[in-house]
Amino acid sequence: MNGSIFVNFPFIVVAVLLALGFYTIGFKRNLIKVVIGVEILEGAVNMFIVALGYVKGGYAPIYTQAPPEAVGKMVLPTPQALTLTSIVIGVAVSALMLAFAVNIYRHYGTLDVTKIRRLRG
Amino acid sequence: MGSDMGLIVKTMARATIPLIGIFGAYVVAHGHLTPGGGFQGGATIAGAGILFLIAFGLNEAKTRINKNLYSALEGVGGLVFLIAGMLGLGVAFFYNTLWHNGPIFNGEPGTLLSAGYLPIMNLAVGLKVYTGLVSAVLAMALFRRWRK
Repeated sequence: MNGSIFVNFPFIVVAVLLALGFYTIGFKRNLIKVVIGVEILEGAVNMFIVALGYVKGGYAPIYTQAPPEAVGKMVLPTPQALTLTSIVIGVAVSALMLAFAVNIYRHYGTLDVTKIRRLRG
Repeated sequence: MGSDMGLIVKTMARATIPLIGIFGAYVVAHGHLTPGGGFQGGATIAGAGILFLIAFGLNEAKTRINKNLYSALEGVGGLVFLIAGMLGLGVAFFYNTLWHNGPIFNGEPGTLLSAGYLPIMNLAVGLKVYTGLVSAVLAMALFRRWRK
């Protein structure tokens, strides 16, 4: 486990995804792309939470027909419950953001965030 | 007219929608034993509903999916979850009285009728997720009148 850089590989991926998500939110003008950036951020956070609970050589935390050597060697179930809640919240938030994007396009006729002003015309 | 798929897609949807629904119901019902649970199973069944909407078109889905019924069922799911949480209110909120001294759902751990109120809550959450996702997607699909 120790001595290898690949132990931290999930966290490197999380950092890359976070940078990508923040870049997408900050520098893209299309509202759909901004929504995609938020989703990338959310995936990064979910992966971070799950990767925190990993145990080297651990088993899935399910006791139904678990092998006998799995007892006491399971990965942490709490981050998985947190991630499930986070996924549900993410689905709701993304649905709401996309509905807002549809409404904004209908009202303003564009999805460019620099062209959306309060007064139309 | 024009919002539905061809013959092959429709036939395959007729074949696969019951299978997806049965698998989602399995995931919901075995949420306390195997991976899955209310949200995952509900999302799977909602996938069957979305397949119906895409394969058979918006007009067909509008006649089959009742908006008021789906709203009512979503509320019922939340209410059942709340009532199951209040079953053991004599001791504490979310006290699993069905598991400790209840008449049902107190079997051997690992069997289907075990884990107290967890299967009831899984069914409630699955119902809520299914109806919520299907009504959200149907509402988005109904919004397609860009220029009137």
